[in-house]
Amino acid sequence: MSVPVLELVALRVAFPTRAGTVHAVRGVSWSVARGRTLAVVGESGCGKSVSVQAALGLLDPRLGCVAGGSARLHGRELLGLRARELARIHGGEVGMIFQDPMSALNPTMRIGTQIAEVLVRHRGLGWREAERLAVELLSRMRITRAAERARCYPFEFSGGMLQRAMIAIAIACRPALLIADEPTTALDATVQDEVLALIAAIQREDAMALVLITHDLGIVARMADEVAVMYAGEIIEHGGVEALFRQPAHPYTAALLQALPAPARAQLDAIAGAPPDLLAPPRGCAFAARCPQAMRICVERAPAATLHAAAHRSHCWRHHPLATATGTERAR
Amino acid sequence: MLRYVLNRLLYGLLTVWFIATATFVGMHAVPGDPLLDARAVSPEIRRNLERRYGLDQPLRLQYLRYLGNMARGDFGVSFTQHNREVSDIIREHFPVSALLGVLAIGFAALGGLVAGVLGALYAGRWPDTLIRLLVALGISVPGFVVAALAQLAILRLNAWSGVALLPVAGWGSASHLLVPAAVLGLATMAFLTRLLRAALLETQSADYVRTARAKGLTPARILLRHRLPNAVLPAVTVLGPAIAAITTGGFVVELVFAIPGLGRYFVQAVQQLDYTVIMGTTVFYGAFLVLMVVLVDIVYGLLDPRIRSAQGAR
Repeated sequence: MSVPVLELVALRVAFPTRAGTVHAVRGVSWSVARGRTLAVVGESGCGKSVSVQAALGLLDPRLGCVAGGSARLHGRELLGLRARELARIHGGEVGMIFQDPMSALNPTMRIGTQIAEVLVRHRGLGWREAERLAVELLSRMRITRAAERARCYPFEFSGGMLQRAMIAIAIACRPALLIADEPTTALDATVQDEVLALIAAIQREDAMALVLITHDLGIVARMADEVAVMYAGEIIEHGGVEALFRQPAHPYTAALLQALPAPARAQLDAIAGAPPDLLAPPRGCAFAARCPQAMRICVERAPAATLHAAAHRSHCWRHHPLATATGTERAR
Repeated sequence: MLRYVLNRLLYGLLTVWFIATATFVGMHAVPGDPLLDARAVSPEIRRNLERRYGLDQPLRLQYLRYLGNMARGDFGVSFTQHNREVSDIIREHFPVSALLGVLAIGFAALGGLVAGVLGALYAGRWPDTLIRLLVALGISVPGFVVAALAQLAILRLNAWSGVALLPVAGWGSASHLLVPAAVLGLATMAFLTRLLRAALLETQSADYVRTARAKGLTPARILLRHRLPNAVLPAVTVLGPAIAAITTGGFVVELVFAIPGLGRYFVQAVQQLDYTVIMGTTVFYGAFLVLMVVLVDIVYGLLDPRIRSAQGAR
């Protein structure tokens, strides 16, 4: 396989706070290749957004996060790059779509200008040419009367239109990598569908690598090739979307799928308990406290990776070769 | 937009009428009258004078006549200054006050912008600490103290340099304007600085700023095109009241620096209960301030597209 577009290796992120150091991301590794979609899944606060933002150098520097490990874009190390070099990558090689389009666009600037801005910055175009291209991009985003709409301000757009404008900004410079951070969470269900279809179509056209950050497994099933399930700052299961949905290996993944509405399901099963405190991450498996199948070792030692198929691995003691249904004690 | 402006002007007119009425009532409620000072007038002369100025008529009639005259732009003749029409006093001396005021506002806006941006850029570091200290001083030290200190400083400066670098007081040249305008604008500048700094810092964690960073824009462009336009709105809102503060604060500065502005005459007139001059200047100032506030509202609308269109829809 060729060099992946983005590759994280054992990425760690920690925030010093008054109460102590929050270990938000604790050794995350994955990669995404050209034309492929990786979904990073997990509940709020599991570190899915933070890991991607830290990898790309987009975290607010005032938070003073300490990143360890490695993040490579086309093989080039991103961590430790200076702000000026990162700025050349942002918006150019890497496009980003954020969750709430209502607040993600500058309320005092025309939509067209906000799109043209990236083109001027990264393509070195003149303003007139960039504004013309911005209109073109808007109509490619299936916004009607694009020329007129480009002169509008964000408050004159609906949520769905704003997210399309946001996508136009993200892909204006034809990036190799598109990051979509909960791109449809703030949108109506019907609009959600259109926006997802648009993202998928654009990704296909340019064979972009797509990293989709979401907590919605429905979106994952529809969009992703691969899934990385995160819990408490770690990846607990990673695999192809088919394998992961058919045979979830980790109890947490299984529980997540159980919490998904389905036609035959009369009752949704919520996962009892809450994620661990990342000020003092647990020594063993982070999910042990909520896991119905937890064994003694789960609390004491972090589980190693178990490979289930070519690219399907999970971190769970249940899958350790020595663990059996009855002899849990022997696993120590 | 036009309808909005007309609407605001109508309300402004109502405000001016209210100011005029309140001044009229208040002034006549104060014991004494403008003829009190005229030495040893006999009752006959007093009656004659009262008749001449219409002071013998019932208050209601005086009020109506006063409103009628004012509507025609006639503020009457001064009670204490010989043969001077109030409108002449205003016409002669207001330009002086206005020039000083405009300069002071310009100084405040420019200084506030620069200091506010610097404060936000260096937030928490020493330039910011220094600016915040100066801001606290600028807001809390009253204008007459600053004016007096400024005069002292000019004296010292002139003595030290051996030549008259800056005039201590008076009127006539551009150098006469410099220090009074700065003194007059100081409090507003401090206020604007504080406001803009806070608003700019708030934008730092705004979603659209994160988007701007994700677009790889340069820090300068993010600051000037994304953060500043959003941070400047609250500062523009206080410009209206700031203009009010500067024009009224002008009285003190005009007195200290011996500037022949309208403020001086206003203070004098109040002391002598010169009815027509008090009424004229008060109403004039009132109208001026109302106009400024309307103007600021319009500027605000031009800056914020959301308000602009809401106005258009009205």
